[in-house]
Amino acid sequence: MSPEILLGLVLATVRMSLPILFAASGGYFSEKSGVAQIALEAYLLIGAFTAAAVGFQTQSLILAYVAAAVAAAVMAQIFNILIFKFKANSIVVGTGMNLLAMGIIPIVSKTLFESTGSTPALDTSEAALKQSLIMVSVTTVSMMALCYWIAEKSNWGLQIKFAGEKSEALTSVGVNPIKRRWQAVTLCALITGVGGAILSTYLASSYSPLMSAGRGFIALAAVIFAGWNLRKAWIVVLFFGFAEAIQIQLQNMNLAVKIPNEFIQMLPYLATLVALLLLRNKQQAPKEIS
Amino acid sequence: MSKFLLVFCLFVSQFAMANLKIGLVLDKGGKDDKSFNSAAYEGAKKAEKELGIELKYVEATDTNSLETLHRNFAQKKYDLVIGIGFAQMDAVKKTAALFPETKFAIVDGEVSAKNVRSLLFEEHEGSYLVGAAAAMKSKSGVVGFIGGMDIPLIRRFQKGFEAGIKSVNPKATILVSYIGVTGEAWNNPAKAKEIALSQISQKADVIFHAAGASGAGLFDAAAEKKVYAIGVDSNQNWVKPGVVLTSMLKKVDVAVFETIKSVKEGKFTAGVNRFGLKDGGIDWALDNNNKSLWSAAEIEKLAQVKKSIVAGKVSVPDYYKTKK
Repeated sequence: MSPEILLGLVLATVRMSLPILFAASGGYFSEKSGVAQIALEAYLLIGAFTAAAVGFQTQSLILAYVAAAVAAAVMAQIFNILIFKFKANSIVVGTGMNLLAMGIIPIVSKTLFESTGSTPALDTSEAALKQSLIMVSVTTVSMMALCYWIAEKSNWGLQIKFAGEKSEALTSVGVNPIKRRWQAVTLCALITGVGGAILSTYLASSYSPLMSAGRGFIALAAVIFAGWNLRKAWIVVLFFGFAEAIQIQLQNMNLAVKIPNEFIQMLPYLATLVALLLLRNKQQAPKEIS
Repeated sequence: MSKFLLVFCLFVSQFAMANLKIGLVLDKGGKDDKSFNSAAYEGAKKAEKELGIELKYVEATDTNSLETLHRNFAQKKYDLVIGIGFAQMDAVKKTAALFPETKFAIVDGEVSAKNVRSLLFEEHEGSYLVGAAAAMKSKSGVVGFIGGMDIPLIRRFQKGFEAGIKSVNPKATILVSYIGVTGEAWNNPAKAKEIALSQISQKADVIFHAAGASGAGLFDAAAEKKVYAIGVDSNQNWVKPGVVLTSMLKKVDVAVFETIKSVKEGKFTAGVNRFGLKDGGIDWALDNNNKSLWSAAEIEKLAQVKKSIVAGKVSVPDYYKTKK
C-alpha cells in the first residue's frame, strides 16, 4: 500500500469520526452524571443547522461554532427542565427532543431562507476551506484536551461522576447532585453542538435535513460499549471511522470477487462490534443512571 | 344560525368545487434537495401558478409516516394526491384502495389500480447519455459513480451510466459506491463527499451522482479537487458552475405538471406513463452555466448518441429487465 493511500485513509478516518467524536464526548458526561442521553442526534442537528445558518449570514466560522454550541445548550435546557423539574423519564424526553429538532429546524429555515430545512451554500473558496480546516483542527484538539482534563483531573468532573455513582456522597459534602447533572447535560449539548457545526460547515458546505444520519446514536453506542470510559469511547469512535473509511475504499475497488454491497456496508458495524468484544471491559454503567 | 351555517357550507363546497386540491407528498430529501424532490415541487408550483389549483405539500421525515400523510390528504377530499419516490409505493397502493374516489399518482413506482397513475422514467437512457459525456471528458479514463440508497432504481442509473462510458472508452475504469442501504443515504452529504474524495484519490476525474440531497457533498469535493461532477434529476449545473459538467435531467416537474393538468381538464387516466429520451422526459442539461465546458463537436456527438438511443440502434441495458 502506497503511503499516499495510507495517508488518505488516515485523513478519511479522522473526517468520518469527527462529529461522532464530539457527540460521544458530550454523551459521556451526561451518561456519567446519571442521565441517559439519547438526544445527541437532536444536539447534532441543531448545532449543524445553527452553524450553517450563522456561518452563511455572518461569514464567520468562529461565530458559527459558538452559535451552534449555544443553540444546542439552550435546547438542552428544555430537556433539563423536563427531567429535573418535572421528573420525566429521560428516554422519553430524549426521543421527544430528537423529534423536536427535526420539527423546529424546518420552521426556522422557512422564515429565514424560504426552505424546508436546508441552508444556502457556504463559501467554499480555497481560503475558506483552509480556514475551516484550521478551525476544525484547533477545536478538536482543544475539545479532547478539555474533556480529558474535566473527566480525569478536575474536581468538578469527579463530582459529575459521583452524581451518577453515589449521589448521597455528593449531598453529604454539600453539593447538589441535581445541579451537577444539570451542568453535565448542558456541557454535553455544548460539545455535541460543535460536532454538528463541523458536520455542516467542514464536512459539508450547508445544512440539509436530517444530515446527522444516525451519528448521534452511534456515538451513544460507542460510549455504552466502551463501558462509560472516555478514552475507550474515543478509540471505539476512531475505529468505527476507520472501518467506514475502509468500507468506502472497498466499494471503490474493482475487486475480482464480487462481494454484495450490503455486506460491505455492514462491515463498519460488524468490525466495531467484534472490536468491542475483544476490548471487553469490566467497568459497569453508572449506578444511578436513569 | 343554521341558515348561516348552510350558506357557509354551500360557500365552502362551491369554493372547493372551484379550486382543485392537490396534495404533494415529498420524499425524505425534502423540497430543497436541488434534485429529485425539487423537480417535483417545481412542477406542482408551476401548476399552482398556471392552473389555479390549491397546492399543499408535505415532507416525509420517516418512511412509516408516509401512509398517514396520504390518508390525511385523501380524507380531506383532495382531488389528487401525488407521491414522490419509490418508497411511497406501498402507501399509495394501500390508500388508493381505501379511497377509490381520490386520484393518486406515484413517481418512480408502479401501482396498478383504477385510480392511480404511475409515472416512470427511463433513467438508464439518460444515464447512458451522461456516461458517454463523462467518458468524453475524462482524461484519466477513470470515472466515478455515487449512488444514494442501494436500490434497483439507482442500480438502473449505474448500469446505464457504465454502458455509456464503455461505449466511448471501452478501457475506462469505473468506480462505483453507494452511500448506504437505508433512507438516510439521501441525506448524508458528508459521506458522499468522503466517497468522492476517495474516488478522486483513485484518479477519477468525472463523477456522476444519483443520491438526492447527498449530492451536495460530491459537488464540494469536485470543486475542492478540481474535477468534474455530473448532477441528477433537476438541472444542477448552477450549483457549481464550471464544476458541474452537466446534469441528467429527469423531468419529474413535467410529469407532475402534466398529471395535475389532466385532472384539471378531466382527462385523468390511470395506468403507467413512461418518460424517456424520446419525449424529452429524460435529457442532459446544457445551459449558460456549463456551455463553456463543451465544444460544438462534443455537443454534436452527444446528439448523435441520443439519436441512436431513441432510434433503438443502441440497446441500453435496463437493470429492471436484466435482473428480474
